[in-house]
Amino acid sequence: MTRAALLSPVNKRFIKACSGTALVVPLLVGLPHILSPYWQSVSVLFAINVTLVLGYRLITTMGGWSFAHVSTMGLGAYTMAILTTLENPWSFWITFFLGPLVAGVFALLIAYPVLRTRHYYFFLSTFAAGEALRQCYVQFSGITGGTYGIAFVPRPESILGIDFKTTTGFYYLAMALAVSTGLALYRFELSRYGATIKAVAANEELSESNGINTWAYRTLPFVLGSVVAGFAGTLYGNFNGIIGPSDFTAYLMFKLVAAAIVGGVVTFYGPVLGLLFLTALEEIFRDYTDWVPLFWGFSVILALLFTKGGLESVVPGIAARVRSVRAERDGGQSGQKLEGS
Amino acid sequence: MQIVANIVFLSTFYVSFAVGLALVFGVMRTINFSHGEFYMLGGYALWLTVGLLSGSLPGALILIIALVVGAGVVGTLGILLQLSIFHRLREHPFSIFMATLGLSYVLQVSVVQTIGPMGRSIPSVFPGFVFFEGMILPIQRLAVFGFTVAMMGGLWFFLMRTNIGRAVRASAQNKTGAILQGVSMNKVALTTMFVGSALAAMSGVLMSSVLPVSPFMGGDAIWRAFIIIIVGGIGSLSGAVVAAFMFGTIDTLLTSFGAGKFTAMVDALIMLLALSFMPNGILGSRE
Amino acid sequence: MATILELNDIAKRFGKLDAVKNISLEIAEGEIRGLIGPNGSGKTTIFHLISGFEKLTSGTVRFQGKSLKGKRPHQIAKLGLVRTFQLTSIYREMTVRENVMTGHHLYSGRRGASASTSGKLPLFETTEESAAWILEFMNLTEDADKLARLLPAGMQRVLSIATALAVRPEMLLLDEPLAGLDPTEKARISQKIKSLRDYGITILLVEHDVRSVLSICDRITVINFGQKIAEGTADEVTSDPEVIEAYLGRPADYDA
Repeated sequence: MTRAALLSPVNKRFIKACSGTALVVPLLVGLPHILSPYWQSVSVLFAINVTLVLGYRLITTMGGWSFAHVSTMGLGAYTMAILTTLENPWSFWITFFLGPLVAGVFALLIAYPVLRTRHYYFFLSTFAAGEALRQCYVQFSGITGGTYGIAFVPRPESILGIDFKTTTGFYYLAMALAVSTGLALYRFELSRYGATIKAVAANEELSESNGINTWAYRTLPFVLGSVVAGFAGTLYGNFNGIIGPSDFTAYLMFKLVAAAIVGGVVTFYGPVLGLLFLTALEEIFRDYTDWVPLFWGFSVILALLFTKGGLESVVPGIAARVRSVRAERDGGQSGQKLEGS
Repeated sequence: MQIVANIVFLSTFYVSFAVGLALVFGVMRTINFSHGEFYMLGGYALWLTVGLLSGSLPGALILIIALVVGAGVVGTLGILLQLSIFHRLREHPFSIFMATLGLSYVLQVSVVQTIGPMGRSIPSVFPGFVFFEGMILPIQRLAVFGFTVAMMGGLWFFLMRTNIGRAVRASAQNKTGAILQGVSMNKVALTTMFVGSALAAMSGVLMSSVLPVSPFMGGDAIWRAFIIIIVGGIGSLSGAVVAAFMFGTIDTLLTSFGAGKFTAMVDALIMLLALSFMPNGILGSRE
Repeated sequence: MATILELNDIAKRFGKLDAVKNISLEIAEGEIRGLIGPNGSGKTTIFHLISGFEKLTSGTVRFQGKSLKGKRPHQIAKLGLVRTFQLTSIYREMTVRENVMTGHHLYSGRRGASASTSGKLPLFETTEESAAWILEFMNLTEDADKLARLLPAGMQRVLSIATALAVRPEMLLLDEPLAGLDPTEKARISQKIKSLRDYGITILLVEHDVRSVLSICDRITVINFGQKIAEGTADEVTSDPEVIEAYLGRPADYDA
């Protein structure tokens, strides 16, 4: 690669993001030492959810709001759980890559029918596909343990001297996944692929007649996003040590969707902001867990009614930039508060 | 023969539940995700009515009161929904959809917190059985069937024979044309939301007389309604009816052959297959 | 001159409606062909059939001798047959420049023009240079950094042509390129379209402004009710009685 290519505008932005991340990483690494075990657990789950929501946002960039994301994550979790609890158990680290592969293959398989739909129909068809998959987790109890699921899932074998049996150790793993996923997806978004995906989402017909293979550029983010969900799934299933179909319900899926709506999807980190907000609500009302979905539901409604595009447009400094992008969207041909008309 | 009866019962339930959703989508061009919760509220309307009036009034009257109360309350909820959310976000139908997703959780939690999360069975308003041609037909189910047919008949009459109903149909087919004809979009929107929501509630009232009511019954049923309207076709009421019967038949057959637990999977697979070959559904029109 | 586009007895049926029936025509390389006919005569359907957005009920379309059967629109564009849309299709939230850059999709990420077809327009080392040339050619340089959505309708149409040029066409299908333009702009864009011939680009265009069509096009095909009713030079077509009856009326009825 030539020097000019290395310093292209895209790479410059990426390097900026990397440096920003490098500054934050020491904080993240130091965090567990000042947190109680409970809050360390919360951080682990938060990191896993961040990975999940980043994958979800990738799918939204092609204009689709999928409702199968959590079920797909389950494929990663189940692959990991099944293989690491065999008579001759597989190493976690192999399943760490196999799980996402399975998730990706599933996404590829349902891509044909599901990507023929748009907008609500995409949401609904992925909803149904996700539910069918979850039913498989329940019904094929020989492999999946049915409604009881799989228990006694062992923690990953130690690497780099980190003991993953402790919450702190696992926290490092979850954070590493979240940060590397974030950087990788950000770079992808800045690349030509990311730009083309957005062009297809903006105007599919025009893109097709400009020689862009719109099918490929819609399948790609869908499959990639599902692969990311698979990665998150392997950690999610492993952390609790036990998984079952009830871990992959509409409740968690709603949390992801709500995070994307409340936070906004225009910026890369919008959904992460949204996730932060929703998790904060969840923790504040820890003693009233039953009320939490109601608060999330209200957050979604309020965000849609009263903000121009979620939390990302409320954060000062970013506000102006997002507002102008939003203003361009609203009233335009594909002007919607949410991507996908 | 029993199977035929079961098919008919299940299909008519699917029709009553799905048709309100299809109506709203056909006219408002957006999907009310909380349709399931409206159905659930209807179920609780019956539970309340039976709880309060059982014994003091004849069964049929109780059922009718529940239907009226359910339709009225939930229909009004639909109107409120239109005024607060649908109207404000009318330029962004997908946002409306997401807002109703949020609303469904709000409603679910509200019911859980006020009434309780456990499912309850409502004692039969029409106890007893009828034996006919070797079939065992619970009178309650016959009543449900009868009321559902009456409901659908009423809807047909409303859409075909009343002025406002015709206006609703016209808007579903050609919004601009309807506006040019002087149809008040506001009136149409309010009416559609009222009728669609009331239909959901009435469906809930009827079904709760034979199935247990719980705060989650809406969430359990809604995805099947989605599959029905996807397979039936974009905004097509008749398509929804056809699809409802199709799935009613398939699900009943699966259950009677002991494969009841696979209905969810099979239904979803059929939907995926249908989408692969007919993305506009059985009777759907190109958008 | 060699035939670049060949329609052999094509037909398209929607349910019971024959939108297009028995249409055959040949367009020579470098020709500017006009396709006119009353509203609803099937002109845009023909465009959809040629460009792969609709499937033929029967008949074949051959571009540069190759059958286009079963090809998706993006594959057809890659072959060098590029179209615009009747309802202006642009990337509304992108700038003018970004629109044209996106049109370079097939040729970006590679040095110069090592792509399947180099097209007829000048080649450049980078897509930025190519886009700049196209913008200059279509007189859009001044508006290059404006948001496409904010352009007046006529300029949006010009932009859609510019974007189509970025796809490096051997042949262009222009669907009502002059709609929404005032007479000065119409004259200028008509000139531009004619000058595309200097680069060897073949053009098939649909237009309602009959006067413009008569001045731009070498030959004209007239369609009515999905069938060809006349074909020839401007003079031949305007003196054809069937055409006059179906569409042109008396000279005073010409679209201004």
